[in-house]
Amino acid sequence: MGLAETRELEERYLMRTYKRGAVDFIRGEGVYLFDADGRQYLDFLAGISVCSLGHCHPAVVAAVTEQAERLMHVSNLFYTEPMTRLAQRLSESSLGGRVFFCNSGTEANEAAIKVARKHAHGRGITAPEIVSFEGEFHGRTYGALSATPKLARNEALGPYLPGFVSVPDNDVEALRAAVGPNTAAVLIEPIQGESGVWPTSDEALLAAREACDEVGALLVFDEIQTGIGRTGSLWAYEQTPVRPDVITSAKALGGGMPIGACITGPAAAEALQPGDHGSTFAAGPIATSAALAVLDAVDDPALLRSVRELGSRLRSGLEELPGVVGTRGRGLMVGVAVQEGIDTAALGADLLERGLVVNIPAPGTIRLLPPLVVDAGQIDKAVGLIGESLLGSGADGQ
Amino acid sequence: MGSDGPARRREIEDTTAARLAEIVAAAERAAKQVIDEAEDEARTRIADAHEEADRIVAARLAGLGDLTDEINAQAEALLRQAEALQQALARAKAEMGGSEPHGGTAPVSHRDPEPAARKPLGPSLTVVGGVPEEPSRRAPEEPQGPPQEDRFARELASQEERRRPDPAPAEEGPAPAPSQDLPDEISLSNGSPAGARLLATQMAVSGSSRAEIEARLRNGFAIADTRAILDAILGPEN
Repeated sequence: MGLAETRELEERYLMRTYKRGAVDFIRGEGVYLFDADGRQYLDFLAGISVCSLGHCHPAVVAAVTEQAERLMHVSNLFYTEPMTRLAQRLSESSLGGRVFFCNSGTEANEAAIKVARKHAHGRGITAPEIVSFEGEFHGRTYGALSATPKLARNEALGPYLPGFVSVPDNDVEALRAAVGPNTAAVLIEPIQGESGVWPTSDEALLAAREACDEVGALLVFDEIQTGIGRTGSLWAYEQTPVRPDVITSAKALGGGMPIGACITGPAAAEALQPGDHGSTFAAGPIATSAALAVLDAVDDPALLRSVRELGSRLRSGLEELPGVVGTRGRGLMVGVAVQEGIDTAALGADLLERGLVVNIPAPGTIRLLPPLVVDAGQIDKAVGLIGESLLGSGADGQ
Repeated sequence: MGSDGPARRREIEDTTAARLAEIVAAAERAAKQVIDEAEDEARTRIADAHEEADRIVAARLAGLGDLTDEINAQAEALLRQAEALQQALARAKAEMGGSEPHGGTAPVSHRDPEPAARKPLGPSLTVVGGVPEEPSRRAPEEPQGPPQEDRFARELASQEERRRPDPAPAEEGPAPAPSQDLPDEISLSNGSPAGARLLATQMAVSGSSRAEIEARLRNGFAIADTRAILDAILGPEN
């Protein structure tokens, strides 16, 4: 079946929730994707930071295959070893508390919202509030969506959940004013991903920590995109001046298998009790086995050092290109701001034609999320392709 | 049988009746004596029990009084300790020039300092490749800040400014050497170093090199000399 027929079926049978790039990928290997015609693409999106070990990483494939041949699903009514080992690994590598498993990032944030509200009720708060910054993206289920201010303005999907407050990005005074006696949590992306790779300032993070401590609220970091090595440390908070009470993880955690996790520190570890939350598919043996294989590979000082070094190389190369105004981000999570007037949608299409997969999260911005196993030559190749495309789009080199 | 038979029978009956009456009277006397003795014994025992109960109650009350006195003494000692701690904290706060509730406060000259120049759009639908943009959906709902180029130009200029060498020290003499044992005394140009120390610690634990931590400290914090923090966490540089 070729691209034309696939598109026809998609057009006819799938809900129209996505606009897709004009390619039908049928295979992946390392940092490369291949279409039905056998054409090779350098993947600098990695399934939106999911395939951080590249496509079909041998260790992940082996873990999934072996587990699928042994046991695929039993539900959370019983014990399974991969689930418990993964929980131990996540807890001991981060905040030291307990873990709730789910199947996606938005579900991880739903769990965090429940933890925060339950924790608040335990402090006598009857109408708890979650505070977040306006540019953040936390997911598309209703709790996470309600904490995503720019999407929660779509009245056609309303009403949204009450108890969510937003303040302008990095506005320390507004944040301090918004946090009060009813605040259950401040929910923050340490680096905003979907809105174009915007690091939250150290000052804002410190203010959030301080404000939470003053009222007894939880500081929750959404590490769904930044976690699992993306920024050059296993968790992005390790490169910030604060330590959160709760982090959420997903995307790269499963290496391509759907899994999410809400990880607490001691302060919130006992918030959820039997009956408070659950999930049929969560913590399944296959997904948790895959995640253990991912952590074996990513939680490696040499790999994380490479992520930091290659991230610097990528940004330095990009900043030399005509039409690039600047770069943002940390490690291999990079936003590229291009000169005003350049049609970034067309730029993205042109790059796909040239064999480079990128993302255009907003006009004027290219988002790059290459697999963490990318090498220097592939970094330089991508920079070269972007440079050629920028020149073709009228960048003037100023 | 002779004529005296009935008389004899009556005599016997009378005698028997009299003896029976005596027996009954004696039994009643004996019973009364037993009852009296039992009542006396019961009264004695009740009196003894009351006396024992009174003794026990008195002993318990005395014990409770001792415990209450002890608890009161301990509470007073705790109160004195709390007051002393409060005074010590107040002195420490005064010496630090401000409060520091957790993790440090705002010693930062942050990397993204201009919140006004925000990105023009909300989260995307993860557009890739040749997907056309949707101007109507993406149009900003509120007036926007300066264009991104301005933001980046300022940010880059700001970073460049921070990369310049520190200004020459004041003429009144060299600054005191930073203490490796007391990293709280690290000289920052603004505020507490706790956030910087946590940043450095977390980065060190996550495997970052000395140079990487130093660069992050210089970019994120207005720290005059990062050496003391780095030495305190990583050990002195050889």
